[in-house]
Amino acid sequence: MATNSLPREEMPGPPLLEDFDDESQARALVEDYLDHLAANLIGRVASEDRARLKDEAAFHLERLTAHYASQGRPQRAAAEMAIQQYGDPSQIADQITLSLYEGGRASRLFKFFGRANVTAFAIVGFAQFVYVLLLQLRVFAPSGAAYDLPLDPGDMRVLLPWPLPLPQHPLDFFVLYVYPILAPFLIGWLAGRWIPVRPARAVTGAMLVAIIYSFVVGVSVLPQTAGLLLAIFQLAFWLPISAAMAEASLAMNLRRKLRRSYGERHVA
Amino acid sequence: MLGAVVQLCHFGVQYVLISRISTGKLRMAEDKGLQKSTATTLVLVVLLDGARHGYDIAREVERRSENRLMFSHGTLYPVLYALEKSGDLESCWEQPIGERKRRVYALTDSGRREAEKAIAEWREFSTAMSKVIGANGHEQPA
Repeated sequence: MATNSLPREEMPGPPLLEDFDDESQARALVEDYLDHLAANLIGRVASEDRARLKDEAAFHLERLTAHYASQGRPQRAAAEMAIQQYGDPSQIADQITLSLYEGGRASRLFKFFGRANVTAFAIVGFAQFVYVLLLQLRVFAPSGAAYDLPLDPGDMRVLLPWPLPLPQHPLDFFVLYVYPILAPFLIGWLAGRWIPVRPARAVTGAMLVAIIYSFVVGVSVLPQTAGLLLAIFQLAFWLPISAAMAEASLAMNLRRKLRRSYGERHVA
Repeated sequence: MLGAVVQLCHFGVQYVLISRISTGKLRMAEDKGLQKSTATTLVLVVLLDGARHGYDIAREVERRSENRLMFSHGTLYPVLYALEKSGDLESCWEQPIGERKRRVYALTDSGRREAEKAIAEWREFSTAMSKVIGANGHEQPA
C-alpha cells in the first residue's frame, strides 16, 4: 500500500530514540550534545575553531562514556552521565567565547577590568561625556552664543532641506530631545557588535557607573535639579534601553554572521 | 573648591565600582565549573609532567585530588584555549591508528615558568593560611 494513501493517524512518524539499540542511542545523545555546543558558537567563533572544539569535545565525551560504561552501566546511561559531567553546552560555549575574546597577552587595563567591561565603559563613557558637555553648553550659554553658525538660516536650509529639523529648531532641540533619546540605542547597538558574550551585563555595569557620575557631576556643575533629573533619566531610560539594545544587536549580528558564513560556503 | 572635592570623591567611587564590576562580571566559574585562577594553576601543574589531552588533564586532577576536586570537564577547555592564546601552552593533533583524533597540550618555556611561579605562590598562600588557622587554636590533633 502506498504511504500517501494512509490516513494521517496511521502515517509512520519519525523514529524515536528508544527504537534504536543502546549503543546507537548513546551515539545519538552525544551527537545531539555536540550539535548544541556548536550551535551556540556559530557567529562567535571562527568555523575552524568551532570544528576543533567539536572534535575535542567528541573525543572527551567518548572517553567519559567509556569510563562510565566500564563501571557496568548501559551505553545510554553512560552517555547521559558523560554529558552531565561535561557541562551545560551554552555555558561552556559562553566561556569558550569569553576565553578567546579575553585571552592572550592583553594590556593591564584589559586584564584587570576585563575586555568586555572596558569596551562597554568606553562606549557609555563617550556618550556620557558628549551629553554632559552638551548640557553644560546649554545651561551656561542659554542665549545660544556658543552655537553661532557661519551660515544664516536661509543658506542652511539650502544645505539641509526639509524635513531635517535645522534650522527651524535650535540646537537645544538636539540637546534636550534627539541626543538623549537616540544615545542609548547607539550605545546598545555598538556594545552588541563589539562584545560577543552577555553585552547587556557589561553595559549595565558601565551604565551604573555613568549614572553615579551623572548624579555627582550633575549636581556639582549643573543646577542641582538638572543633575538629579539627568541621573534619573539615565536610570529609567538609558539603562534598560541600552541593555536591551545590546542583546538585540548581538542577536542581529550573530544572525548576519550565520547568513554570511552559510552563503560563503554554499556559493555555486 | 567644593566641586573639585566632590569630583575627586566621585572618581574614588568610580574606581571601587569598577573593581567590583570586574571581579563580579567576568568570572568564568559558574556552578560546578572551575575558578579561573585555580583552573589555570591546576592545568599548568599537571602539564609539568608531560603533554596530555584534555580528558587526561581532567582525570589527573581528579586522581591527584583523590576526587575532592570534581568539576564540569567542559570548563577546562576555555582555560586551555586562554593559556594557548597567551603562549603558555602549545598543542597539536594526534591520531593513533584506529582511534579518534585528540588534541594534546604541552607547556612552553613561558608556561613552565608560570607553572613554577604558580606553585610557589600557592605554597606561600597555603603556609600563611595554615599559620593563621593554627594561631586560632584550630589545629587538628596529632
